[in-house]
Amino acid sequence: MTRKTLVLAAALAALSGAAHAQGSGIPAGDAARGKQLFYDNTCYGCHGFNGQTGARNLVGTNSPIIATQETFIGFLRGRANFAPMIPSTAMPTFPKSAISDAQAADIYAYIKTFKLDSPDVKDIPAYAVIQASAAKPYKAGK
Amino acid sequence: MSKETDDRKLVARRGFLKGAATGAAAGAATIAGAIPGLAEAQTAAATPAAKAAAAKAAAPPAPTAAGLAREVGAVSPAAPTGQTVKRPGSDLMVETLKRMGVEFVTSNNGSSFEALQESIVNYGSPPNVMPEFITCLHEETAVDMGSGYAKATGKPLVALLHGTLGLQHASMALYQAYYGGVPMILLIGRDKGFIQAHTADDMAAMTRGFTKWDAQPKTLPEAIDALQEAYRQATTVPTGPVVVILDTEIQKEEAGSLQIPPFRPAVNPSIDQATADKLAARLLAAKAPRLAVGHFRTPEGVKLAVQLAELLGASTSTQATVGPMSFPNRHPLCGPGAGEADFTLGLESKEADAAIVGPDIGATVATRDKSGIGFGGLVAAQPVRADLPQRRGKVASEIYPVDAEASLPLLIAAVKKGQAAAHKKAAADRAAAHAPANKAAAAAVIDKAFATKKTGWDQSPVSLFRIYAELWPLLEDEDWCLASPTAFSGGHHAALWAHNQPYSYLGPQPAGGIGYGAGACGGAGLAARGKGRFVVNIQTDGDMNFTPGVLWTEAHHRLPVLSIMHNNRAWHQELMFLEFMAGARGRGTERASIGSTLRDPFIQYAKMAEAYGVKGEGPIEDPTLLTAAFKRGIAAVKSGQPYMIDVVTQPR
Repeated sequence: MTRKTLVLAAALAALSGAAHAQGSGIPAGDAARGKQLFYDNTCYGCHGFNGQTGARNLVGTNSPIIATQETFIGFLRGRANFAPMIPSTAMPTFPKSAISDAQAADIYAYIKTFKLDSPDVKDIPAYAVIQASAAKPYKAGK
Repeated sequence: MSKETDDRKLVARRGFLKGAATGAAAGAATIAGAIPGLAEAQTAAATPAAKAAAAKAAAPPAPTAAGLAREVGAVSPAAPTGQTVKRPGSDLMVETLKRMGVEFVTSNNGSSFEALQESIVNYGSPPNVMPEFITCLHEETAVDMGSGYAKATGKPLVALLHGTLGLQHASMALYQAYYGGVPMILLIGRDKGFIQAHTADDMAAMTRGFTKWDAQPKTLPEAIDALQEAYRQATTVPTGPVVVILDTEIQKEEAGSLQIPPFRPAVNPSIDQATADKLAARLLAAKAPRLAVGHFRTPEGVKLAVQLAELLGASTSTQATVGPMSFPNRHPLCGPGAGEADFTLGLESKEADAAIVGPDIGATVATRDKSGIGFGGLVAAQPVRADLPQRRGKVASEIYPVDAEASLPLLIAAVKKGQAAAHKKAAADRAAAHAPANKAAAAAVIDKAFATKKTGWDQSPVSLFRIYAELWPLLEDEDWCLASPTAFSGGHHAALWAHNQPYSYLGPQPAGGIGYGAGACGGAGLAARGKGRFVVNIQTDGDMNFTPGVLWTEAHHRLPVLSIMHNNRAWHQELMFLEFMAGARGRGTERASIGSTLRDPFIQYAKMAEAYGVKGEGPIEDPTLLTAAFKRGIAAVKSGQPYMIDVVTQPR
């Protein structure tokens, strides 16, 4: 196991512990309320309006962070609580005073409605054109 | 007439106009009240239909065909007769620009250069051609257009600015041009006898810390020399913007028999013969030579780099997807190549074993930043900060600090001279191996891009990846120039599009400043006009709102610019920063939208374009409508008209 893998494993273990402590026993949320909260809290800024685009898309990533409501809420609570001198686009931390457990559960419910619904590449005509274009013999100036 | 007398007359005239306006309004009200039925009749006349009819009757006529022909230089003005000044100094200035090949003067007019403007629009046969006066609605646009034009061509244009005001309006764009080492000539009108707040003893000092060179000639011969030296300074490495202050007296004086000296173009520093021989020998001795190519000054550098790579069968890296004047990225030698390189030569790139890299604009800081402003990020101004992310990859320990483009002819000649039959065969073998490897690498990049970025393909708001992907099939067989910075729209062209022209992509905002893109695209439009080429502008909404007047310039001068709005209704980079900060302080992100979003109300960009005379459509929220809209847009720009498509997009 590499050093990097060890660090990752330790972080996930810590996250799991935090999630258990932070998120267990919280009732499942409401996706409709979560949609509004997702917008109001500008989650779309990084994750896109449908969780599929943006700097960090949420669906199709197999991220353990959103595997369960508990891991998700634990992640929300456990982010950095200090501001580095250089601006950061990392995930903010959300204490209960900012997003309550119930609201976090609502957001989680909404996130879980996101689906990876993009077509297969073979059904995207532009893909074939782009690949064919790259395969063409090079012509100077074109 | 004394200046004091002039000032009194000005004040008296203003007072008269003010009094006349007040009197007219008051008089109209009094009369309406005194005549029975008049007020009612006036009310009736104020109906929309009556207003429209009255407005039509009162409106000035549209320009005639003859008038428009004069404007585009198709008709020569009458020859001067009976004038005191027969050969104005400003005519010589225009002739000097003409002989140096300056195509355009971008400007927002001002009272300190009416003489020079008059010469541009009337002198020469045909007049207003080489240079052509390009009407800008803001000086920032005039200079940003200069950046776009220079990045697309490698040549400077002239931005003509009015005194202290014009130079300060332009200063942000000038700052970016300096950071980018963009060659450009700024001419600043100076009128000591007119409005005092518009003049200064040393106007160039206001921007001296971020220009390469400046001059304030005292006589007409000095002014002509200064124009020629300005061109040389702008185009000699480190290239950059330069300033010449032109007094109105010099513009207006009689030139008499003064002749323009022959122009001596810039001579850029090159490696010497011994270095060329040494580098050629190492390239020829290598089993797998490689070229690491950065950005050259002009398209000629690109042509020479291709020639050298083909002579050697060398695999080549490129910066063509991040900026102009680099190696064509779909050339068969461009890519990772087959196998590891054993000697890499950098050409304006230090990621090599040995590198020819010309001086950076930061080299001018010591002589230009006399007041010690200490602008950040310039090589000579600031040491590398250990707390910031550093560039990865190897950095050459053997650097020749001269211009690579100027060095290539010597190097190519030395390679040709030293190339035996065995070398030629090895080069051919290498080329044959690199081509399929590079083609496979390009295909893999496309596959990876689709695998990771096609998420949200069918979603609304529209995915930026889909915009880039659906554009390519329509651009593939066209001559296009992507002139807008693309970092904020995902930069998906880098993976999906071929960047085979020196102007395929013009790169980012040189100093990272928003407000540059719209103007730069207009300037690229100048470079494209009349060449069967058009500009693609993936236009961020935040940027558009700094200088939207460039849309009018594009319409007026028939610039083929296709603007596709990346309308995410926010400054999303800053929104993300604010979110993190609010989180770090435990205060939640609910209010992060304040000051970082463009909503309530949403801005209607197609209507904005229409107001400036640019055809447009949108807002488009359904991604299935994109391709048809792109086709309409491309048809419009190919007919010589700008076009705008407003697309409501995902944040990134």
